[in-house]
Amino acid sequence: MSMYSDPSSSRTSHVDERDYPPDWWRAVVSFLIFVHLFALAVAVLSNWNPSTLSIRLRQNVPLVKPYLQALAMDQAYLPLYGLTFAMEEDTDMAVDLELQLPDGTQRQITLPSNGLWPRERWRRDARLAETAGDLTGERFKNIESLLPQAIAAHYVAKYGTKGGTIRFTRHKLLSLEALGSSDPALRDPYNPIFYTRVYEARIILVGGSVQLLKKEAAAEVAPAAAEKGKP
Amino acid sequence: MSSSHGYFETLGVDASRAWGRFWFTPTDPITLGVLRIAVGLMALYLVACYTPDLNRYFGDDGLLPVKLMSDLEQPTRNDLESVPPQIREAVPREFRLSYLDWIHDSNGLKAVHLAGLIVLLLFTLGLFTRLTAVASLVVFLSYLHRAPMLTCGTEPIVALLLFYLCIGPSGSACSLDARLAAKRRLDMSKVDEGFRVRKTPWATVAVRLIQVHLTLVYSMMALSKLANDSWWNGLGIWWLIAKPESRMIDLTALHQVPLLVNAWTYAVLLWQTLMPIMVWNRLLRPLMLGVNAVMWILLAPVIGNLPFAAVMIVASLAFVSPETIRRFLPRRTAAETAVPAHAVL
Repeated sequence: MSMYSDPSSSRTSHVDERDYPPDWWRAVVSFLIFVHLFALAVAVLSNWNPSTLSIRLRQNVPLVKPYLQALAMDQAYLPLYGLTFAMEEDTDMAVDLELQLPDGTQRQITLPSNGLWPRERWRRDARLAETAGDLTGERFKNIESLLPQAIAAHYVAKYGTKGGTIRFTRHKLLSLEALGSSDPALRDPYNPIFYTRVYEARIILVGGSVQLLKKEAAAEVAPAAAEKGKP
Repeated sequence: MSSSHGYFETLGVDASRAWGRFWFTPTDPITLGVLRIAVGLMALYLVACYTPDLNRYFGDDGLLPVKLMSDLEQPTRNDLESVPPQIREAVPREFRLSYLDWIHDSNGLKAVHLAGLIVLLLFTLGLFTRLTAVASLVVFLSYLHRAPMLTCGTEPIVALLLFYLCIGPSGSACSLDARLAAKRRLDMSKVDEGFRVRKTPWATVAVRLIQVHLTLVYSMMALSKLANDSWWNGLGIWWLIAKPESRMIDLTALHQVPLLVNAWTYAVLLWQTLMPIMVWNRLLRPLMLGVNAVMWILLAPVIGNLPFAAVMIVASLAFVSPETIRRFLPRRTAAETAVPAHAVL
């Protein structure tokens, strides 16, 4: 007689006594399952409005943080999986670069650029632009230049330019009511009024490395990027 | 006193039995076999999409140098709350392991990329699956950790599915491994004479872990919406439709029927709220899985992310019973994880 009933048994499949695991095996695997589920609970609780308890569990219980992060399970499954919260960060973002080429002409680059195939490539560029744009502003003063600088350095090296400009533009969303407006300009999602500049900086080369001179605060220069951006 | 002691004793015994039944009743690994193929194809697609951009992202003069990852990670290490929620997953984490961190030159990147694709292909085909399952997880996580700012909701789901497919015998059904083993074990011409399925508790553990994790993901999806005004006021779907660059289809004409927008929003809210509960009910499960597939198919062009919708549908296959899956598979495939009936009787 089997220890467990198997409600899914059928003509072609039934559970054999030999298939059941021994007690010691179940004890060990039960413990591991418990530890795993505990770690998942900590990940969810500590990644979104965390309490002191959840932060301490995450930081102080040995191996929980490395385990979760190494397996990419350090998630609350909230922001991306909520699809939209109708917040400013839920809008599309674009990175525009105006580069001065050595021959005196200008080159315009936009991330994400249309026409990338497969679409996954477009999505990755869009995500990069979104991350870079969302990390700008007073709150992120110590890191806001990092991604723009890396993006600028890549294109400076690629085209051998002497400088240029980098801009991050947020594409604000059209409300349901706005589409009912009698003014055609308000119904056009591509009307310039729906674009907000969130970051703009001049790209300059100092000693062979790329630096950014933020437009809003001219004195602010991003940290130099080591061995990057050699024209 | 004695009655309460008896109550807790019964509770303990019953809970222990239920736990054992839930996690360890041996099951047919065919579910894992089907999941392996679907998840393998997803992982293969996502990694293959890096092919034209390897140097652009990860090369010596790439957009995302390795140093940038640590520069971004260190200031946010213990203060992830300071990062806007929508990009929190895009910020590099302290404990990340990616072999791509050590390779920058073009030829090296191409070589490891090709090797990674071969590993994922072998895993999808189910060849040397025990080995290629773990290797596939390493490959996939390497890309994810190398540049998390290029990922969205799809990659963490694929990663967790790959992890659980390492735990279970994902290569013992619908795989080249199974076919080769069956050739040695079975006279395939006598398949119609009957067979019994080789069940294993590891298959149960892996499938249950996927089911529980997926329930957690859906619960959080629902909770986030329930806590947000835009889903309560029936405009959640509109804010997805209104994203001109992200969407794949322009449904802004729906502004003329706002009631439909409201109804769609509430349908999404209801589906994601009920899914983690009702999918556990045997009778309601087929209905919920059907609704789940339809809702993701409808949402995919609106959110502009087909792989995300696809991986959520694929993950929900963990709730389909092995018997149902076998009904749709050729009898030969079913026999590959079986032993002859006369061996049992």
